[in-house]
Amino acid sequence: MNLPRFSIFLLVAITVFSFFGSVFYSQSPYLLDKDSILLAPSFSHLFGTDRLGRDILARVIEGGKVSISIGIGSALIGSFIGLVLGSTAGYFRGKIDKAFVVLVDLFLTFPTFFLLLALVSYVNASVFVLIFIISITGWMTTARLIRSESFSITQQPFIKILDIAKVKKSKILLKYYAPLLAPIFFVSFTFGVGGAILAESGLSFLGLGIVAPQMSWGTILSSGKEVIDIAWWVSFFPGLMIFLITLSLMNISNYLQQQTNKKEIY
Amino acid sequence: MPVLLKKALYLVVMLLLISFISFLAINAAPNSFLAAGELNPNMTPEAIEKLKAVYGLDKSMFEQYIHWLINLLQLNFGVSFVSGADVTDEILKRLPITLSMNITAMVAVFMLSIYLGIKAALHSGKSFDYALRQLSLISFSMPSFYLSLLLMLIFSVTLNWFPIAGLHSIEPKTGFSYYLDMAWHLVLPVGVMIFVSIGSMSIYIRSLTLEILKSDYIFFAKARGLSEKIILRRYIIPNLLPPVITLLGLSLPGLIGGSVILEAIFGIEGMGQLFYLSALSRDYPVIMGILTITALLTLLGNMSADLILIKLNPYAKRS
Repeated sequence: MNLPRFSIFLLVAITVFSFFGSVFYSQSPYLLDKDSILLAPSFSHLFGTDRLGRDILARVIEGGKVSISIGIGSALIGSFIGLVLGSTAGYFRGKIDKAFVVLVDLFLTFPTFFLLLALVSYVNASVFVLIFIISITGWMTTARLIRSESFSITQQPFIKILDIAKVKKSKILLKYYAPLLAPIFFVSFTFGVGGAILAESGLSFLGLGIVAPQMSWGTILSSGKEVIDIAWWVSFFPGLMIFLITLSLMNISNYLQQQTNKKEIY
Repeated sequence: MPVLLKKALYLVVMLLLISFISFLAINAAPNSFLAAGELNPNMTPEAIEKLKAVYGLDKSMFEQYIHWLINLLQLNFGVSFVSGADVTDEILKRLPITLSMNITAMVAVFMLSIYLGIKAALHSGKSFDYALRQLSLISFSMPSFYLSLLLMLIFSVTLNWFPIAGLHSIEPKTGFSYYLDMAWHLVLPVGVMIFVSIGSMSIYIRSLTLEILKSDYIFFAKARGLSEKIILRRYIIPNLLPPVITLLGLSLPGLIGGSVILEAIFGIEGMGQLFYLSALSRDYPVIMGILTITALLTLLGNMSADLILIKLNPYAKRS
């Protein structure tokens, strides 16, 4: 079986399903129906219904938009912070690098999930707030990888020659340096999307993430935990989505990493 | 020992930074110590001034910080906004169960992943290796709360093998059966903890072992005709331990962080659950207390990992 291709297919399928699913599936994710409370999956409700008679499939489609957007948004910002800080530390070294190490160590002494919870308790969570919070607690892995990669790049002769030739620092950074960091950046970006989706769904599962009427896979899953003994489908399908999308992202990240032949991220 | 001194100094710097950040954070908290008092129409300005003097809020920011630092050193985080109880007492009451769960999981992950990782590396490219890599991806992508719900559904609801939640059965138990009962309640949560962190650890050990297998000393050991068992015990494991111990020290915060979700799901009255409840009710003294104590635990974890490393490898002292 061709695993990376299958993962890309799965990733694209889930994304298309979330963003364009409502075009093909006309049930409303908000419509309450007192005659169809906690119905098991059937042809009229493929994923069943929840405690208020809402269609789970429609809710999973709607929630996917939020979950995926938060995942991509946070990973973009997080890996960008990591790229900037990591490459600066790796390029300039010395005192800047020491300060960088202290900063990363400081962030790593707190459990990430504790930091997330503490930050969420200061503000009311919304999509943008969550993107912001998840990205500022999730840049450290990228930053460290980029830093160690930068170290090995600056060791290479051509960078030294460029320095000696008095090429502008900004030009060296952007033209000769950044392209070499690209592969490791994409590896940690795909990895970051998966991590951010897990973080968001964890927060939403605890009731500290997305709030009603908006929904994400985490909130739908959370709403099913009280009825897990009589209606498994409420939690099962959104959870499956989180699992499948993260699995495919991790798989792709893993594959990219094997291609660039770098050390394992995790 | 200069290395130890350097490490200790670094620890002190970190603690100072942590205390400064937590001071800023608690001062930035949206509901202040006096918010309720200021809204009360019966409160005279003099009374508010008096209250401020009681809490030390009339002093300068610097003095307040020093005060906060002294309190932190005595592990005094004030009283909870919600229950009014002493924060340190609350945390210390709940710390043992969280720590024992995490340490059990950590030891199990350590043992299992050393076995699995080395086995996969020795048979790299074979089906066992392939299976372990797939398993590790699953372990890494599986949300702990989803796995917990699935396991609850299968083992607690359908098969009725394990209790759904809590730490103790309803009928009181004493002596040995008390602990046995508790262990029975902890099988599922600790199992989930082990599963979600075993993937990354065993893959890490696998790639480390692969590196070691490429080295000259292994080649030479094989050339001398040493058995696989001796090579494993004398050359592979000793070289494997230092990085693994460092990683274990680093993985402590992740494990403790994960216990928030697990304790919330399984209704275990540990520190994670306390943190979750405080985040819900915005009980900042408790939040800051737990953050500081876990940071302290992490620093101690890293420090002891370093100490073990120095013990294992005398050369580390010099660098």
